[in-house]
Amino acid sequence: MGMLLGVLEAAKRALDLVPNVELVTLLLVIYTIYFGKRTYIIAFAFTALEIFFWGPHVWVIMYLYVWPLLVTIVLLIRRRADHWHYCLLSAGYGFCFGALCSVPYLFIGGPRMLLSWWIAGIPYDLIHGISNFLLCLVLFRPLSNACAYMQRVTGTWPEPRPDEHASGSDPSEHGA
Amino acid sequence: MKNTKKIWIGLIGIIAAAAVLFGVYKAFGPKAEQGSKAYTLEVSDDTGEVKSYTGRTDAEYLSDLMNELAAGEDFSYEGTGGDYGMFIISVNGLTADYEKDGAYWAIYVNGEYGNYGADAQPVSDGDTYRLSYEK
Repeated sequence: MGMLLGVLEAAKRALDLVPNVELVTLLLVIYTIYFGKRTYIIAFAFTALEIFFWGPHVWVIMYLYVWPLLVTIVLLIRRRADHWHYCLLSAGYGFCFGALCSVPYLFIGGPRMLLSWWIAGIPYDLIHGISNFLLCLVLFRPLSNACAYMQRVTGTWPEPRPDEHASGSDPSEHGA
Repeated sequence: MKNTKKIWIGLIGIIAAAAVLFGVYKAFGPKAEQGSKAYTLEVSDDTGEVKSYTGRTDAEYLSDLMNELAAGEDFSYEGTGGDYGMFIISVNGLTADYEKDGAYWAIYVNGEYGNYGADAQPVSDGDTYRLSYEK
């Protein structure tokens, strides 16, 4: 778990210089496919790490529900979803990211502030959604293969492999 | 075949979502605001003819406003730094040479002689500034 958290944080830092291009969404999707509910721990630990590095900010409140919500969605769909569904989920999540993150502003400045904050950030959401889609399209299989490999080597994964459910093949084999 | 259909539906969905977001942004997003302060800048030349420039600006000082005008309109000026701020040498090609004939460019603010150089004269909403060639 610590290693996965480290990879998540390193991926976040590596792309900090490129606004709204991030691997956190994709990594959390893949972690959830393989780790299931335990990914909640990684998501909250990731938020704690961010607070440790950057201090408490409004976006910390956002992180507290945005990432767990993503984990929840993947938990709900992972039995039937394939690579293409995750690409669409990643894109949609990027498009909706600003809207999701604007919720705290409802309590800070009311509906007007929420709407203006969300709308002002739409260009960034568009970049976020498109980059999420492309990253998932390109990196889902290699990352999924890596997770499957680790699973075979260590045999220590706490969740049943997704292919042990009724869904069929290994997620790394899933394709559009 | 089924997969191809699924891919197309997904792609169209993504493009549609992006288009809707873009439309919302274009319709309700922040618009470039006009400058917050209304101004009138008058230039009175050596014949007493007055040319006026009006508009809105966010310029903090008169020299900033003059730079804005010089960048976009039929206005030009030259100035130099002096002990008491910017000293205007010429406006719209008309040079005032104090050493030659005692001519200088004076600044008036709302009809009253200005207390500051152009780079220290604050721009306030609704003010009228006049650059006047005087001897």
